[in-house]
Amino acid sequence: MSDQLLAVRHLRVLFPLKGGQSVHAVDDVSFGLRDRESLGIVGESGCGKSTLARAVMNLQALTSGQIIWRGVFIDTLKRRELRDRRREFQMIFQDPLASLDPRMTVAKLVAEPLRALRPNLRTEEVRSMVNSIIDRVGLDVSALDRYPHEFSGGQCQRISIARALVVEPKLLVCDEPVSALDVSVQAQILNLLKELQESCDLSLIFISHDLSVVRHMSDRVMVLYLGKIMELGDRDRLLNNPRHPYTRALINSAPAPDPNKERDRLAPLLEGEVPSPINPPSGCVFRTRCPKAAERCAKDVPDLRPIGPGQNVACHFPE
Amino acid sequence: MLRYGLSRVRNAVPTLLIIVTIAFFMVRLAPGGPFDAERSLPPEIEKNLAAAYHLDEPLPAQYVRYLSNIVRGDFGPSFRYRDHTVSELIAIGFPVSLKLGIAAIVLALVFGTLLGSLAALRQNSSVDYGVMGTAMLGIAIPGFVVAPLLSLVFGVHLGWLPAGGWEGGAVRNMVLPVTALALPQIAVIARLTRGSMIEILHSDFIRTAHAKGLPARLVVFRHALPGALMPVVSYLGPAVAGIVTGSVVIEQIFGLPGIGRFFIQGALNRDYTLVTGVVIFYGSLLITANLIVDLVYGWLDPRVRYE
Repeated sequence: MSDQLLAVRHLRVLFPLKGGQSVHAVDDVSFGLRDRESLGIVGESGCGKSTLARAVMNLQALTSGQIIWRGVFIDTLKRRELRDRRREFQMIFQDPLASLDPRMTVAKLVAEPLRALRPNLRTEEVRSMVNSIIDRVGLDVSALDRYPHEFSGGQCQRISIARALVVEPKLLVCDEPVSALDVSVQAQILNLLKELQESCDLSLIFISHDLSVVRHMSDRVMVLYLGKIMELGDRDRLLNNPRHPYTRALINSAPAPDPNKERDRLAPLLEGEVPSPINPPSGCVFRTRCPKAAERCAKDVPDLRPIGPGQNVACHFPE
Repeated sequence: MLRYGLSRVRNAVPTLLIIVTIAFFMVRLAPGGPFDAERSLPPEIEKNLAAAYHLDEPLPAQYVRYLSNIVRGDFGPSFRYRDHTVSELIAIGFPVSLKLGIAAIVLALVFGTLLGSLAALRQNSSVDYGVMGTAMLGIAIPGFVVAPLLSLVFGVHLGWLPAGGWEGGAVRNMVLPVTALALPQIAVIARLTRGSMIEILHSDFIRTAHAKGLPARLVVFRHALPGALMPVVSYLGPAVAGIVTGSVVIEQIFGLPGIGRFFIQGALNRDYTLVTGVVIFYGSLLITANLIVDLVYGWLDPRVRYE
């Protein structure tokens, strides 16, 4: 347990609506993260990936559950204590330009977390730390006097990464960090993130709807559907031998590099739409689209249980 | 920046010319003349007066004469205030109007942004509804209703403040007129600030600022407020216009010796030169205010900076 960095227990985030109903964004999610591990989270739009990330970052109030960061229950911390802890976990976002304040120079943007979280640093120290991180994310120091709108999307994401890493966090949460970028730039940013993970001893939580990106980035993979974990396991086992019907369908629906290759080896493509998270289906939330759905699936909620070494699945009838 | 400013000044010339032309012909279209009185003057005197002020010339000739005088900076003599030129009257009235106007703008900015931000930060709370409801009232009720009411309640019934008069610009004399001038502007600015503040508070870089670990106070003051004030800055141009036109009414109601009062007296007396002179003065004032607003805008937002 000593290298356990983060433990999330029975996390639940509901957004109440008028009339007593609520949107089940994240529903009873538990997982752990080890030091220097990278966890990929995949799922369709609206499955709760971003809400989960925000909840882990304490940017989102929990409905119930616990988040334990290095042995401390951070969801119950007072604001000041939480702020001291923020040095240890930082986050980057999907839209790189919109997440930077347009009225600030890059130097100010990158220095701001240092000034807020480490107020005792001297001005020269701040400047040298900013210069060194800007260099490490592959930007020229001349970028420091310019404004975000003068940069491309990839460069803005580099600025965001610099801003997040300047306080030397242990964990970097990446919420779809490359989905707004051109494919050629995506690879650069992904490689930069991997490189920095090595050199900065970072743990990563990496959210994406793109399976190939997650495969490239993760040690372990979590598959989310309607706010629940369908499958969680080591990357190679999960992606090469998926046990949950949804994981199979997801992998099958990703475009293959060779379009002529036989591709219906795993499962048929999914039909229908994701059900509304306002009234999720009873029992297993995936049953309305599952080719293997049976009577039991409507009654009992399947627990996430180990099904092999390093692989867990929430299904009554795993493959 | 300098070149941009100069080109704006150059572009203002045709605008001013149009303003002058319209003002010049409109006052002359109005029935009556500057020397009409209850007791009509002997025809010779009237004729002499008209000749002295070149009113006997055909209109186009008068227009050309007037334009050439303006270009030389001469707004002509007032027809009614016989011993004064129009420039002198403006010089007498302007300090009063300026003092009122600046006080009103400052008051409107401070209270407008404060109330608007408060409403945005407590969106859909009773604070929000209270501020927005009051603002709606402030916009809906015209100054010529608010001003006499203020004067009546605080000046006459309660007797806390003078009901009118200037007394050399004493603070107690300024409170009521400045409040009456600022109220509708406070209302508009509060609504503007609330709207843009709510939008900005939901934007990605605010989320980033929270994720960075900035204290909420800094997120609001450093990241949200400067952005939220941009629409308020662009509104300052129309706000100056609103205060200028408002002051015409307010100065009259409170009996203040500002330009607005001369303007109304001038219009009632068919004091042609005084009216056109004040119109030109107000026109240049508004053009300048809008130019300053645009320059400030570029300075505040690096994305719209001018070459």
